[in-house]
Amino acid sequence: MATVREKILQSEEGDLVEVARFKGWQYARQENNAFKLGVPAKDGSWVWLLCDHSEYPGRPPAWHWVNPDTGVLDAPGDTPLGGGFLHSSGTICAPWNRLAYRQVNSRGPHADWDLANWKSNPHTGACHSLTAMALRIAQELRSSFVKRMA
Amino acid sequence: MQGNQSVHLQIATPKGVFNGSFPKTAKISEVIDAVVADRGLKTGDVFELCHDGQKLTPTTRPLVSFGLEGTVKLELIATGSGV
Repeated sequence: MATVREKILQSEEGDLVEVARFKGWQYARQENNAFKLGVPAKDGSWVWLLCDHSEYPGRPPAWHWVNPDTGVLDAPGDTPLGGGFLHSSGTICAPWNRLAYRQVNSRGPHADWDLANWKSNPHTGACHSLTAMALRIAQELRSSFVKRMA
Repeated sequence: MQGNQSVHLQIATPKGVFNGSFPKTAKISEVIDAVVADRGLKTGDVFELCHDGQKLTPTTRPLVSFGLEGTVKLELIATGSGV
């Protein structure tokens, strides 16, 4: 029998797959509560993410940049930069990204955010689901992307 | 709503893809409200409508003022973060 968490993830995955297909994104489910997502950036190149949702929704997912060929995470050459969202630390700066928290990631920009209360952080806004997060990331890659870190 | 007085919108949302037609004169804010209601999103949450990476603002402007005609693909984006 599916747990509440499993039902939430199943529902959210359905939404994400539907939107990914509609947008022409590349979606691939991974083992261990993760998926890869490829979305186009402003310069026409593709940016790849690995979303680790193993602690979601109790804690926010960890949105890593990933090399689609090697699987290496958060390498400078695969890390987009631009504005406050595509942060100079190499992380997505948002309360709905676990990597933005200094307490779990030394590069995380925020030591002042409470991981357990990520949904009620005013900066989270309506980014309460994996698809909302993916849409926001894709929008920033289309509008704010400047370059890769290296 | 038929003919060239309406715009057919296909919108990627946090809860799947919305399909629907609106008068060309519909305001962006009216479209957002309709999509939020249709998809069962939380009323009161802030969303923006985007087209090819561009935000459709101000939301008091009608669809036609953005040059949207025929069938158009949009995205409903949750505001927040980037701090």
